[in-house]
Amino acid sequence: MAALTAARPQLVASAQPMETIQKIAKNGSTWKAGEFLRVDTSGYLVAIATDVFTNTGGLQYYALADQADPGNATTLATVGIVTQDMEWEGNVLSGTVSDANVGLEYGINVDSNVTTVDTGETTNLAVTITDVGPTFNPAQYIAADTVARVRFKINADILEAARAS
Amino acid sequence: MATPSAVTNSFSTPGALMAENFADILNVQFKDVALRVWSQPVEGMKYWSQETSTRASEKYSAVATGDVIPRSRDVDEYPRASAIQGFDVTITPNVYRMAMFVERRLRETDQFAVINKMFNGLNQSAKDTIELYAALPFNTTYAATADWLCGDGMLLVDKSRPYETPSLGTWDNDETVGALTQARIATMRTNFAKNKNERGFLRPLRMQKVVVPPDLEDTAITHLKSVLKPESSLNSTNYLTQYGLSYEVWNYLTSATAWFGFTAMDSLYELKWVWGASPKIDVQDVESGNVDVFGKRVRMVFQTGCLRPHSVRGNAGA
Repeated sequence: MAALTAARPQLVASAQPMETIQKIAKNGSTWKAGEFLRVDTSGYLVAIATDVFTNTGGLQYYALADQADPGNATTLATVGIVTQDMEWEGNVLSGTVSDANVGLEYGINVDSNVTTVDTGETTNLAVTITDVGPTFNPAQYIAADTVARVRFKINADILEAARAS
Repeated sequence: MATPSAVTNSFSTPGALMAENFADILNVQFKDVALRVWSQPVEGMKYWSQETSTRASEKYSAVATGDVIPRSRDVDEYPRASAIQGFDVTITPNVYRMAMFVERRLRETDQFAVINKMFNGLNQSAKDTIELYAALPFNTTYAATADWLCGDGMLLVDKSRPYETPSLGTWDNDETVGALTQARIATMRTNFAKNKNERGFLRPLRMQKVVVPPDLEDTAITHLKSVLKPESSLNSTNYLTQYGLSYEVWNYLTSATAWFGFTAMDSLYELKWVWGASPKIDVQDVESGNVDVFGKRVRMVFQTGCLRPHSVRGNAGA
């Protein structure tokens, strides 16, 4: 058994190249390249947090580069636009996965700027697992891996969530 | 004094190479941004007998004849010979694909001419994939769970393999667990010589090489190349030098202790690597859906399988 190290999600499939948009980074906020982002009620970009859900602003964007605290309310950040057809690859928060996880919805955890799929979170459902590491890449991942590798899509209601503070 | 960059590297992977991902290559302040290429020979393919197929799957089986001829008077009816059918295996090649995209502006502003060369990385990806899948059955044969099975339904190296003739019980190609020593190499060689066929008749095989992970290379050299017996205080000859045994290091073996013995790769060598398309590693331009986003993709179709792994013996080591 190997305990994998969680990494920020990467886009592995989409019908079109990811489009980008410039939006103002919220004063006082920071994020790392590869984090998921949302906009607050003022329209400023912020990083998502654990258990992102429809009532917490969902998620709409993908950080292309690290963002330091802008120290103002005018700094534009170029970010990628997340769409429903995009398939992402990342890790689960803990434990192993199997084909039984495919098709099920789970929540999201964010810890130290790393987003993972929390298979223990079944209330704030944000993603749907589309494949598991031992299936899509058996030469690299085994069923006994913990913090296992999965592919997932962001749920439509999360992408379309109303802004929240 | 050299000043390092951030200790924790941070980059995004939005599905295409974009300026935000690779700020270094747009920055003329750098003296050089190199495309790091690791050159290495292909290792794993030599342990597989390669074939090409244009069918969705290939089924393999084997039949065997031969039996002990009984005493029989001429006036009697001829005793009948019988034939036996072996276990079959169906090898269904899987498709492996991956694409790399890059936005036009990044190519235009690349100060170090590395972006276009990055597409060559697809070949390296293909090579890495081949290496991992070539080693996979060897690396999982001693795992608690493994889904790579030979035609007889057993792991590549297994203790209890059924004979094609059910009444014969089982045979094995798994040595008694132990570290790589001269005695254990000799035992493996002897066990190859004791190999039996589908009917339980002796079909001696000649062990040709010992394949070890890099951790055991020193030990393999000691046992196979020393003129005198390395594990004895007596000045007796190292008999292993007389059998023409060679050793090979397979860097993709993940166990630091497991080692394997191989016979010649002849018609009886039944570890098959079936390519399902030609060219085997197919790299071509690919549409991204946006004319200003260039793409190349690599595609391979292959699968491994094995009918009867009498040509391989393994020892999990210690």
